[in-house]
Amino acid sequence: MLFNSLHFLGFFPAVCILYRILPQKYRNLFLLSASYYFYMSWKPVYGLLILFSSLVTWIAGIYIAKQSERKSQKRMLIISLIANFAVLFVFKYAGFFSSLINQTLGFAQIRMQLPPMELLLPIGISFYTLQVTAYVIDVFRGEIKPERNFLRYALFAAFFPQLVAGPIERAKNLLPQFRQEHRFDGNEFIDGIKTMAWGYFMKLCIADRLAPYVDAVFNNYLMHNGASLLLGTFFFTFQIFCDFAGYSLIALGIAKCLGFNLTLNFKRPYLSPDIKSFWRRWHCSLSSWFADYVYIPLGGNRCPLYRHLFNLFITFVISGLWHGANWTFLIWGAYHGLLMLFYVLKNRLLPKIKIHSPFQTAISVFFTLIIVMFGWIFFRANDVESAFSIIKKIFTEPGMLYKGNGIPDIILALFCIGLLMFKEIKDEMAWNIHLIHNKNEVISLISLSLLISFIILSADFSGGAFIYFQF
Amino acid sequence: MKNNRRKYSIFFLMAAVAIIDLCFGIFIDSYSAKHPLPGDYLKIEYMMKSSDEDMLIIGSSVAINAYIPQIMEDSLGLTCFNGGCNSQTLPFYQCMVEGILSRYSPAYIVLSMRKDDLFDEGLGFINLLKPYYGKGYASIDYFLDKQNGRKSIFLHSNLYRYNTIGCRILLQYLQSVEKISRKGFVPHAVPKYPPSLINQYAYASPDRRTNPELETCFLKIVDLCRQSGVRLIVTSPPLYIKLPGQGNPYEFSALENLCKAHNIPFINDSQSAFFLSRPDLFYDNSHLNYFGSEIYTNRFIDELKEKCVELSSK
Repeated sequence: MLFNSLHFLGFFPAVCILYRILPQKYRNLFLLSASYYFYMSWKPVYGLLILFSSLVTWIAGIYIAKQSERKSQKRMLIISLIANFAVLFVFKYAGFFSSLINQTLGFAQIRMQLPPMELLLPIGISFYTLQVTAYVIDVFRGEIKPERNFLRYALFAAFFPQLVAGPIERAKNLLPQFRQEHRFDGNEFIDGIKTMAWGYFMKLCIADRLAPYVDAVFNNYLMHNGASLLLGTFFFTFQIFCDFAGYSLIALGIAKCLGFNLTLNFKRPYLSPDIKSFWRRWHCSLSSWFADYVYIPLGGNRCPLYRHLFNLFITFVISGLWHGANWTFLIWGAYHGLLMLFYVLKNRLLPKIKIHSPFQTAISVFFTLIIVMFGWIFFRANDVESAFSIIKKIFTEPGMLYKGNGIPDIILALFCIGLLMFKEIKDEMAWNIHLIHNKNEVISLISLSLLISFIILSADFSGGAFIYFQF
Repeated sequence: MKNNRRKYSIFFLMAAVAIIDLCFGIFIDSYSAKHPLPGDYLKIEYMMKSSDEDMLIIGSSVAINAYIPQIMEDSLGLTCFNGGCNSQTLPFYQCMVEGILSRYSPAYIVLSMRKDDLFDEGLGFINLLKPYYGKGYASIDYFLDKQNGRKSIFLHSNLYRYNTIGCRILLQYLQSVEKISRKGFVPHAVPKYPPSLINQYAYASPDRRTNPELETCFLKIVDLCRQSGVRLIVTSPPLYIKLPGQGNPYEFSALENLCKAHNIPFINDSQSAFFLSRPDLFYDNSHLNYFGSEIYTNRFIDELKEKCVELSSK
């Protein structure tokens, strides 16, 4: 079920109302059933995979807490990690690696070939796998106590607002919320609706409106010149942000309407003055997961410089690979890894430049946006060869701009991007201009109704799936 | 107390959106009644509500750039309007014919068809007609319900009916507005480089079948014209594409057979040898440039006159 589907439009109010009507003791059970229904309405059999992951990690958590010996705790941790990552590997990477092995065998002129393994990727598998494995590691580290109630734990693993595309929640944030009673709070509910409305604006008015242009130029890059590909890249930069941040905001809003607080996943990433800041603002829940469970265990920055750089680079490469089994993601991860290396080296070797004036900040933000935008070419291109051809065309083939569905569509998309960036800058600079979040309830309500009306008037309702579902 | 008030905020919010929706509908209806909307909307509105020409041309962008009504009027002695709309197909033509005939009956309707018109899948840009939903046009309601599926429930909202279109209308004012003074004809500039010939001869696919639903649309148009005593002529302007089946392209044979079976005159210039040897008369492979349309209209009139005489004598 998609957040932007008619199905969800019926599902969400029904869940909200029933959740509030039901007595507290049945609420978690109800939310769990709703979450499984939400997930299984796509492909019922894949609900078993979440159930499997939940069971394995729940048992592992309890077992680890019971054992006093570190060795047996470690053994259990490894078993549960292998079980979870094996499922992820089979569904997400087996096809990629089998074709890689076949290519190598072919190159070595060995006739043996592995059978092709193209399985349908269960949506959200990468997200919930990271969430449940983080739980077991946290229990192993003694940072949290294991959850004894399976129902509550299963809900933590499958909570529908963040199940398929995050935010990847930590047990210490989300699990305690399932133990609390959530009384209806009008403020919280309206705040949730506001967050959802802005999320829908980002998804439907920007991401989905930009998608046809981006798809047209990237999927047929040979037919397009550099100018169109450059505009396509610019559009993709906002498409991916609005698609993913939009989803996260909708998830946050839904959770808020039900009385839960999820982690803010995007903190104005395109206003970052440097690449490090970008990664602190972009997909925060994933970045912090990789920092806590990959980068720091590797040694982090408390080691010799060469090792620190290696740790950084390898973390970004793995993060790239997490996005999908494709060389393009690997290169994208490596590209960001290299940018981070340059950033660390620059800070170590060169004297620090303090940015004071807004003009200097704007230049840094613009420069960071350009290098991030360049990286998105690898992320979006269908293969590595296309990515390099697109880059070459951008620099060597100027020409007339492809107009896609027409100039009005392009202007409308640019207007919406402008609106979004105005809000981002306003929030970043903490300007005291508020419409939707105005203290005056009437202004706030009228602004919200105008935003909803604008969405109905200008959104693309063709029902485009969220990009991050494929990861 | 405040929390209690907030409880009802959601109802206030819904009411506010409903009021905005209502006001928007009233505003856009009264605005479009006083001021012409730009682009294709202007044409649709004109044809649905005020056209009174003797001859109406209905078709897609190929038609817009091919027929010059002023030349046709001078030669035929009939008033004429080019009602071609961008990216449209048979369901749209059916809606337009039904809308026009519900108000008046022109003497002739020239239906300009593309080579793929009977083979397309989907309903084309039928959503362009959303503002006319629920206003008594059965075909428009039928196709929009079909296109929108379960979402058609939202077609009762004024904002949704103008979804995308509303913004297009506003934004099209920024572009050069198509003038109705050219009687619906929009000339294409001469491109810097003429197009290169596309040879589809190699792609002949004998298995390609017509879409039965589109065939039904065509027959419905024939039926509507017969009932209103309007003479229907089917045409196909020149292409700079060599189609499979020399002299009798496969796609057109289906249309030709259909026309023959229903006694509809069909002027097929799509494979005109003259135009196939003149890339300088095209804007791209499917659209004539200004000089091309002038030459074509003059040549087409002679054929059209013949067909008109034939039809009048019947």
